[in-house]
Amino acid sequence: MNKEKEAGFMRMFVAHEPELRAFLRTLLPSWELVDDVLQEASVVMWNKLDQLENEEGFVPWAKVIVRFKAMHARRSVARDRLVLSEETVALLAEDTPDSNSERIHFERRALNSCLQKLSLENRRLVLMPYQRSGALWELAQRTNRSVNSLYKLLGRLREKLRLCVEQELITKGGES
Amino acid sequence: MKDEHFGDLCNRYFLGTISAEEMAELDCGLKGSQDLRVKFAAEARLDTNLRDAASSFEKKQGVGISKGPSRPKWQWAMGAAAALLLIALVVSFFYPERKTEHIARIADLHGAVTWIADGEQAEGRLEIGNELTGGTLEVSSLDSWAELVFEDGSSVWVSGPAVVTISDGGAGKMIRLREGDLSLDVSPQPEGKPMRVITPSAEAVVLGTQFNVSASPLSTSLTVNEGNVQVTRLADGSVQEVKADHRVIAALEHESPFQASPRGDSVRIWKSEFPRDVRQGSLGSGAEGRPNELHAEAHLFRGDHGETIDPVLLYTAVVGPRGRKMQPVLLSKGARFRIRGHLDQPYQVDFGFGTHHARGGLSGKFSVKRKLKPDQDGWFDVELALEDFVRMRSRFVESPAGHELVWLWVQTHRKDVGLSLSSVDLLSPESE
Repeated sequence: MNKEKEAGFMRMFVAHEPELRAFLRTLLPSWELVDDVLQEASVVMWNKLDQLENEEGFVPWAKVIVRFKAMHARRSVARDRLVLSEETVALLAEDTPDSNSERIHFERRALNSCLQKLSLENRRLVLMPYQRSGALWELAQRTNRSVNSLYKLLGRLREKLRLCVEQELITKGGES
Repeated sequence: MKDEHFGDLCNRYFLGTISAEEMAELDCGLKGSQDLRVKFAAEARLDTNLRDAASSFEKKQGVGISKGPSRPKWQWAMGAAAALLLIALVVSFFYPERKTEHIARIADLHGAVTWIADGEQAEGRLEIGNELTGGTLEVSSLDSWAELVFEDGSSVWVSGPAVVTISDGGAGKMIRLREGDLSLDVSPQPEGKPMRVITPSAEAVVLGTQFNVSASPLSTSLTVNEGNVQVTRLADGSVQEVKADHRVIAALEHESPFQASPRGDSVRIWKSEFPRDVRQGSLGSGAEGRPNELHAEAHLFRGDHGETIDPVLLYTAVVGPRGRKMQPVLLSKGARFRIRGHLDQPYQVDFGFGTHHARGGLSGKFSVKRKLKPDQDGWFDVELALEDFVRMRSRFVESPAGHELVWLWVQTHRKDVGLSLSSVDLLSPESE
């Protein structure tokens, strides 16, 4: 494989990685699985790069590989973990548009702006589940609150952020 | 399915708290409605962006929090080029709209002080008057310090070695002290936006007051000179209101008592005790019949006031009165230090100490150089009167007499000559 092609692949993969992760998150129940599957899928893409005809076709091609790996991973964890049915996961995969990168980019910017509107305390809370396992439980212990009440607050904050992102996209014209 | 209920199910799904019944309900809803599937995909994108934002937030907060599973296979497969490209992309995404508003300025600095603004990867040169955005200040050595002044006049003295991250956002000012000493004079803060000072073991909420904080990775000591400070011990969430002339110690482990108490009457003599009073250096067992020794640690000095010089290697050991029952140690006219330790060979040694005003706030740093000649076994025993020390800055008080001793450092330049301390005593003028 020549160096130009390698560099081209890296550029495409890096540019579309957030979209591939978001796509996998639609199909899989945890971030652990998403990361594992993306690792495996990236190796497959690398090995099969010769099959890719042009850069425009990268996202649909990568999504086929990612989807295949995700279905396999879903089956392997279905026995001991709560997962969506195979039929539903297949429908979710089919409904996803071929390319979503621009939308994700706009949403990310809108989310950053919406997060700034939260108090530091609420911002910390809403980002806590991604930072360290058990952090929410520790916070509950520390503040003498029930974990359940924190999850409820977290749910309300996520809903607030979702609505804020929608509003930002409308007012700032980021809707693709 | 109602929107609100669907949203609730999605939250539970993405937060990993969904029950079997709820999963079945969600599955059924998604299977039967393309509209819900579109909404579900939007929730997945939100979850993705939140996760990325969390990673960015961690970096801006300057805390190293582990972030889920690593990606060894991906990294191995793609190699260094991929990592570089990924970093470039991640940086461009994480800091797309970095604010450049100034929140504070450097009012004074001396010694090995570096500044890394949020989102920057390079250390910035600092000069008095420099305006700062949010970022991290590193004060690398004991004879170094910096004073930051926020836009509202609140000032923060940072005495090295210390690492401090500052920010001033919608929720108010935040100062994260990873280790080191701060002396704060906080102007009244806007209602609902207190200043927060966070250390590895405590969080202080401040509305306007004067207080000192000393933090190590394991414990935080906070002394209030004026006003009130609310301190939370992070280990268990318990809270103490600390009023003027009181102090509290919050340890990382929550078995230690956490109770604000009066500072107590000051004392005028002090004898170091290891490991209690160790502030910098590595503690080793003393040779047979001798006390433990505090060995000097190596670090680099790179120049003052933004002027970069060839790095100078320094070897420093630092001690300071510490401990729960420790009363403030006041320096009195005619007092002297007796310092005992070890050197491999005759060498010039720098001695220095820092003081606080009796009612708080850094009042000065004082230093003196001495050529020491150890005995045939390498031991030295030297006495230095307070009057031998020279203030390191004209703005500092002329004499340390009447001020509180915070720490004392002993240092050699450029060469490792085996410097270690076995004891430091503060002797009163009357002592023989």
